[in-house]
Amino acid sequence: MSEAARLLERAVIERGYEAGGIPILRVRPEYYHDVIGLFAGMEYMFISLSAIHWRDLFEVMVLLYSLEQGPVIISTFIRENEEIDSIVDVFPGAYLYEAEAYEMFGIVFRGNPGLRKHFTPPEVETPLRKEYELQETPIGGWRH
Amino acid sequence: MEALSTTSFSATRHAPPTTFIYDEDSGIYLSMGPQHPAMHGPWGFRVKLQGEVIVEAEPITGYIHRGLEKLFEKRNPQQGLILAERVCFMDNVNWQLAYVISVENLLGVRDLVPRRAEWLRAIAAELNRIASHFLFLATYGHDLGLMLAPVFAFRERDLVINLLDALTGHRITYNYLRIGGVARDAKPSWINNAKRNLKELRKRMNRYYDLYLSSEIFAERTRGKGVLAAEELIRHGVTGPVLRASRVPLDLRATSPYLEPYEAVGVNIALGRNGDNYDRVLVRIKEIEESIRIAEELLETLPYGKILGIDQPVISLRRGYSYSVVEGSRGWFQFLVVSTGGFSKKGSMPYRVKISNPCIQMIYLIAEKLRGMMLSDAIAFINSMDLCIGGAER
Repeated sequence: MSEAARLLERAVIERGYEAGGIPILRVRPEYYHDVIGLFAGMEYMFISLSAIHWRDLFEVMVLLYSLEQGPVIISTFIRENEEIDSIVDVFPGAYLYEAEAYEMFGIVFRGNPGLRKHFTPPEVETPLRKEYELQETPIGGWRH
Repeated sequence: MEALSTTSFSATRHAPPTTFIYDEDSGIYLSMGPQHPAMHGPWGFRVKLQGEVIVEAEPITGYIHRGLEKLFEKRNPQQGLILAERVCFMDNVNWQLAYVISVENLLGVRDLVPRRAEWLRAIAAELNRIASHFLFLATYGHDLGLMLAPVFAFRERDLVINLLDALTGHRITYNYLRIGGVARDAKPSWINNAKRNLKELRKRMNRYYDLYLSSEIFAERTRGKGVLAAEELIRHGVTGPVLRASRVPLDLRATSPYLEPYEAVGVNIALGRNGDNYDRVLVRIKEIEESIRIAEELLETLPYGKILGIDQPVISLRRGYSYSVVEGSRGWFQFLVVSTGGFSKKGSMPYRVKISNPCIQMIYLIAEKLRGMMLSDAIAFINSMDLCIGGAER
């Protein structure tokens, strides 16, 4: 058994498909960075990163694409206050996506130097979490 | 009385501009944007200069975040349609298309969409792509001092927008697509008019090769400037015309068609050679020509039949994840719709909607590439990426 297959066997919890037919690989958070690195070695390119707030969990989904194999989604779940490895060393394009996930949900990506506010004003905190009510937010001063 | 004296007045009036901060050790800091005549949209860069060379560049964002993703969580799928096209006004048919495909996949009603509706979707998407690329040609020519470019390119863009206006009833935000089809049918008179106008447009395209590519001013400022290697773009995950200008043949319409009509007529991928500013313009001009061809062929082969497969507004969603990717004018437009399937008085709201815009990756790629570049080349490089900041911040 090759090293890649062994890694996938250890890392993957579940395999599934989204509604359009793109395969989803659910991996354990501790192997998330290694799995992304494995796919990077297989000539996959980074397309986007999304985060979802479930009740006490956060889901991080990365969409990768390869010209031969087509798209694949790598997904992982982390708990509140848990950190996750950043993938900017593998895919620098993930820089602002991770920073956005930090800004909107408070997910900390270890190793990403850009974890600060990029889009929202200073007084708005983690607006995409479920407990944040949609409201008219008074906008204060803009500082840059 | 003292406050009104001439000296104090002139002192305030001639105070040094706050955008220039001179630091003796490290050079000059200069803010390009957010209010800058050559930056399109409210964003910019804070650059550090040594002489005329940029040594550091930091993007300035955060002026146009609208919280669209949060708003989606309070809209049922039908209401979301209107929101989906407001991601970016320049190419809104493609944004709405990404959303519609995503919701249709989630509901499992993708097969119910009539063929005529698929054709009309593709025609509207191609016309919108043409309009978007003409807007790029107009503004980019203007930035580089080709003052004739906006005159011609805006006229051509208007021709296309008038066609979309006659088809959809609006000039900018068309709101043309529906879940299960399209909103309005194309009348025979519109089809004839569209064919005539596209033929005229095709004739005029030669002028753009003359105007841009044989202009010496243009060549000086674009050839060999802002070269982006294919590997670098792939590592950053940049898609669209920018990637194709660096000779990577990746166009979803050709490689994995998401609409049947693209499969039926076939799409030729426009490629550049060196990946410089010049190639990025050339690829977009070629893409306009290709889109004209696709639209013309689709108008010829437009099937008869219904335009809407579902005859009532869709307000419910099924449980699950749905990801859709569409080849837009700036790269891959992506919608992730996640639903838990709950139902309330107003219908079921998606649990989470994630809009991924290819322009986000470009912001940091630009910042990285600006280091070491001359200040005079910066605008030519930044604007050649055709970045939509409103769409990137959402």
